[in-house]
Amino acid sequence: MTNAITIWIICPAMLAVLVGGAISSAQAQVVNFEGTIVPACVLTPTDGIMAINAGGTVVGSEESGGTAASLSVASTGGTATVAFSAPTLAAKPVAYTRTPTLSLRYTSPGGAAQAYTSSSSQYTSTNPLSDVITLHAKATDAAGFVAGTYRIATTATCSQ
Amino acid sequence: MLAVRLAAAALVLAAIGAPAAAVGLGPLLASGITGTERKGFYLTLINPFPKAGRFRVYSTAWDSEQPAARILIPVARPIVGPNSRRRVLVIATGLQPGELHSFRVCAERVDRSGESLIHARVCSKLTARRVA
Repeated sequence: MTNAITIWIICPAMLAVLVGGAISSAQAQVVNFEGTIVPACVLTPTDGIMAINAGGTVVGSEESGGTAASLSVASTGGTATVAFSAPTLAAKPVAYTRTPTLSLRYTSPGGAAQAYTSSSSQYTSTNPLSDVITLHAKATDAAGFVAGTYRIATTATCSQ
Repeated sequence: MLAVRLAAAALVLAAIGAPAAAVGLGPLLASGITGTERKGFYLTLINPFPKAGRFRVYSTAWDSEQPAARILIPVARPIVGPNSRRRVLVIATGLQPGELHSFRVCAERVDRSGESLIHARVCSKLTARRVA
């Protein structure tokens, strides 16, 4: 016959639980905070609104009633470069068959200062961790636009 | 044409404003050495939005939008939970002894219906080298 022997090992924390808070004030405990920063780039875009000018020849975010778009850039893996593709007309009324001139401009506290351009462009922020880019877009057609919804699009790419 | 202009001006024209989609990816640069014909990389795909979303992860050439050769991404359209991140495996295959293979891997949201002006994507630059 074997006699079983059970040994209970009670650590201070268990003891504190077992006896209520009776000894808690007498012992110091270390409280740790831990966090992990993933080296990455996070882009968060916010859309803008375009409106038409009084002459009917420009649809843009800087016309009365329009608002700028924005792009938040958070980079924890080093200074990031943000590249914008040439703007395209992603949506237009069926009745509108012409090809307007599309352009994009942007600024940021991190040093972006791009004037209106129809080409691709890029910039590298002087703020290594974060930046907020304010973007404006417009379509120009001297012959005017027909009523409907227009959408200008660009691809913003964060890389190093 | 003036009538067209006035008609257009009389209407609220372009209305955009749906919340756009965010994406995160890292690291932006990574390199590794292998003794075999394959080299794997783990990238972290981030969904900073409070709603789950499906992403597209794809490879391109180092300096162009052409698809990169011999890159395998087993889960190329992963779903990432709200305010979460997920590891994505990228494998460079067919490496020859002494070969240096540089390419990019980009991530973007699959659903672009909510976008207007800005389509966001993040690209990592990866380099795999097989020892001679």
